[in-house]
Amino acid sequence: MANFISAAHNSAKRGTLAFMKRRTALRSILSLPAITALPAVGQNAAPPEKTPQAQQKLPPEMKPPAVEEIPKLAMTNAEAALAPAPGFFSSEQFAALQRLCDLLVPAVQTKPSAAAAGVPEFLDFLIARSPQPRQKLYRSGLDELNADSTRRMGKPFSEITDAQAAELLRPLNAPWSFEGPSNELGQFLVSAKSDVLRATVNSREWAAASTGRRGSGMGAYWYALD
Amino acid sequence: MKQDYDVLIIGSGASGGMAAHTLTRLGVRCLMLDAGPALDFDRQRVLRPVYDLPYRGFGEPGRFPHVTQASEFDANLWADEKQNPYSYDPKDPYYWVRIRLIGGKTLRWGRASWRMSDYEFKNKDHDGFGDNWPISYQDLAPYYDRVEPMFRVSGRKEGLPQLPDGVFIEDNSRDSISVQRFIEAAKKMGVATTKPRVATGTLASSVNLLLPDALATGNLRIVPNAIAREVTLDRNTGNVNGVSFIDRVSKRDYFASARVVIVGASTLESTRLLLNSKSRHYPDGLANSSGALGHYLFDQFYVKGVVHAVVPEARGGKGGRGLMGGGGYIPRFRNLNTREHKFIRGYAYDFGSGGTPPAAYIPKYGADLLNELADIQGAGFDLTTMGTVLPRFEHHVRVDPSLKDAWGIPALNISQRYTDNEFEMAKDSMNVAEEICRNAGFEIVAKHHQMVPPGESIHELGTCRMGSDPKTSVLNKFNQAHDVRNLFVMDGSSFVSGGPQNPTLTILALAMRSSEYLADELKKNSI
Repeated sequence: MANFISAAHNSAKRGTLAFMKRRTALRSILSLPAITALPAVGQNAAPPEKTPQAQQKLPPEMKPPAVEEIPKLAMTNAEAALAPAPGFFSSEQFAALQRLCDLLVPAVQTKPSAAAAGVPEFLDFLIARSPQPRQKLYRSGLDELNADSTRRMGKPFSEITDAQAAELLRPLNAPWSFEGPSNELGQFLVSAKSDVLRATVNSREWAAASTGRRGSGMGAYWYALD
Repeated sequence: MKQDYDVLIIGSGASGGMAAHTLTRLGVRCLMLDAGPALDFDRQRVLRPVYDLPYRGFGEPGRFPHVTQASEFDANLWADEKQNPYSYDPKDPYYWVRIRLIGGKTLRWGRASWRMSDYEFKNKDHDGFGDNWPISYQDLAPYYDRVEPMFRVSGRKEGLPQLPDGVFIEDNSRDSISVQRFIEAAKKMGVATTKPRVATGTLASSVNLLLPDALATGNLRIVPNAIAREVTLDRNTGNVNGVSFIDRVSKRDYFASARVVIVGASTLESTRLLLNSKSRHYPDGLANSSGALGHYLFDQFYVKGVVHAVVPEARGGKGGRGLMGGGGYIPRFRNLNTREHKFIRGYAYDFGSGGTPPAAYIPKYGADLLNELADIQGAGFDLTTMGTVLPRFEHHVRVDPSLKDAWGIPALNISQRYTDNEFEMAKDSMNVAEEICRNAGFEIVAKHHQMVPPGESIHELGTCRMGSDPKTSVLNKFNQAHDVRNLFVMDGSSFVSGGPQNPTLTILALAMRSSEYLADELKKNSI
C-alpha cells in the first residue's frame, strides 16, 4: 500500500495534466487541501475517503482510488493477444515448418492443429534460443525436406500433396530404437515429431479445446529465489 | 547474540538434518550452515498453466544440460550449473544434479525407502569383489527401525533376505488386475515382487520431519546462504577448529568455530570441501592420509523405461474397473543363491501400470499417431531398472585447478564410467523385463538397455568411504575421520558399496547412528 500511495504522490509532483485535473476536481469537491486528499507515506491521519461524510458527497462515478488495497489488474499474455514476429528460420524453412507441423499434428475432433496452436512461430522462438546443435538439426532438416521435395516432386515441401509428403516422412514409420535414425533428416523428423506434439498439447489453444480434468496442464511453479 | 557451539553441521538435507535432529535432542548445541536459502512454500510457489510459461514447458534451452529432472515449473529449485560448474572428460559425461536449499535434495527425492542387507554390507564375502563395510546389517537395523516411522514409510513385509523388512505403515491395498498378472508371471520365473516402500505425507523432507523438532529444542541455529570454503585445522592439536564460509548473497567472509565438525553437504560436495581443505599436515585434502579421499565413486545405474508395454485389454479406454493402475518393485534376484556368468551382484525394477507410452515409441505420425495415443491412453505398463554399480578406485573426483565456482571456490573434475559388469546387467534386465511382460500377455511397445549417464540417478555415493583400515579408508565405522577425531562425514560419500536400493534411508540411519555415538563421546569428553 505504501508504495502505491508513494507512486501516486510522485506522479502528482510530476504534475501530469490528467492528474492535476483530477486533483483539482477532488480538492474542490472535498474542500480539502491537496496534501490531505493524497496523504504522504507515513501520515497517521485517516484517509479522508474513509469518512462517511466525504463518501456521501462524492458522486458514484467520481469515487476516489481505493487506497486501502492494491488492485489486481487483468493482464493479457502477449502470445494470447498478438501475433509473434518469427525471424529465425528463412521464409522457405518457415513454410516447410508450417507444413510439417500440420502433417505431424493435424486438427482431430475438437483439438486444434499444431499450426492453429501457433507451434511454427513458437518453434521459431524456441530453436532461436537453443544451443547450436539443435539449431543446425532444424535448419538442415527443413532445408533437406525442401531439397528432397524439389528434386523428387518439383515443388518445395509446403506445396506438395499429403501423399507426396508421406514419402518424405517415411523415417517416422520405422520402429523405434534408442539410437534413433542414422541419417540427419531422420533425426530431425524424430525430434520434430516430439517437439511439435508437445508444443501443441502445451498450448493455450489446446487447453481451451480440452474438457474435463485432462489437458489442463496446471503445475506448481516456483518463482526465482533471491 | 554470538555463542559457541558444540557441533557445526554443514548441510541441511538427509544427513545434516538427521544429525541435527539427533544431537539437539540429546542436549548438544549445534550450528547448521547451508549453501542455499530456505523456501517459502506460500509465497514462492503458485499454480500456473503450462501454456503460460515462457517456453511452454520445454524450459529455457541450455539452462540445465545435466539436470534432466528439472522442469520449467521447478527450474528455480535446482542448483544453477553456471554458478556451480564442474568438469569431466567429454568422452565420459557425468550428470551432477544438485539442490542448494535448506532441506537439500529431500525436497525433491523420490521417497523410495529400501533397507540394504548384508548382500551389500558384506558383499565381498559373496563374490570376492571390493571391500566389506566395517558394519553389518545388524549394526544398522535398530536405526532403520527408528527412521522408518519418522519418515512414515509405507510398505509390505515380505521376509526377503536381500530386502529386509521394516517398521511400515502396512500397505495391504489390492493390486489392479494388470499388476496381478505381472506378479504371477514374475513368480513363475522365480522373481519376487513387493509393494513400493515410500515415505508418505505431503512433504517427506528434512524441512518438515527433522529440522522443526531440532529447532524446538533451542539447541539449533540454522544459517542459510553459507557456502563452506574450508574446514580449518588447529596445527597444535591436529583437530579441526571450524569452518570458513562465504555469504552467498553478499559474498562476505565468515568463520564459524566449534568443537566438532560434521560434514553432510551431499556426497560430492562433502568430498570437494575436504579436498579443498589443504594444510601442511594434509596437502592432499583434509583427513586424507590414506589417499582414498575422492576415490571409489559409484552410484546406481538406471535404464529408464527399459520396457514399455501395453495391456491389450485396456485399449480403447477400457483401463478402468480395476484393470490398470498401481505398481510395485522387484527386489534384486540375481546372484543370491546362484551365480551369473556375465556379471556379479544384481539389479531391481520399479514397475508401474496405467500410464501412456510416450509418442516417441509409436512409429506413426499425424492423425494415425493421435488415434493410437488415444487408444492406448492409460493402457501402458512400464519398468525401470536400477542396478548395482561396482565401486572402483579409478572412478574418482579431484579438484580441477582451472575451474572455480561463482564464489571463487575450486570446482570438481569428475571421472566415472560404467563397465562391463553394469552393461551386462542392463542387457539382462531388458531381457527379463520383456519376458515377464510377454508372459503376462502384454504387448511390447519398446525395449532398450541404454543406461542414463553416471550421476543422473542422483544416487552418487562413495569418495570418502568408511573402513576398518585407516590405510585404505577415510572414516571409521562411526563416520568419524581416522585422521581427525573431531571430524565426521555423515552422508552418502561414506558408503563403501551399494546395491540397487535407493540410498536415502541408509544415509538417514547412518547419520542417526553416528550422531548418537558422537553425543556419547561428547558426554564422556573423549572428543
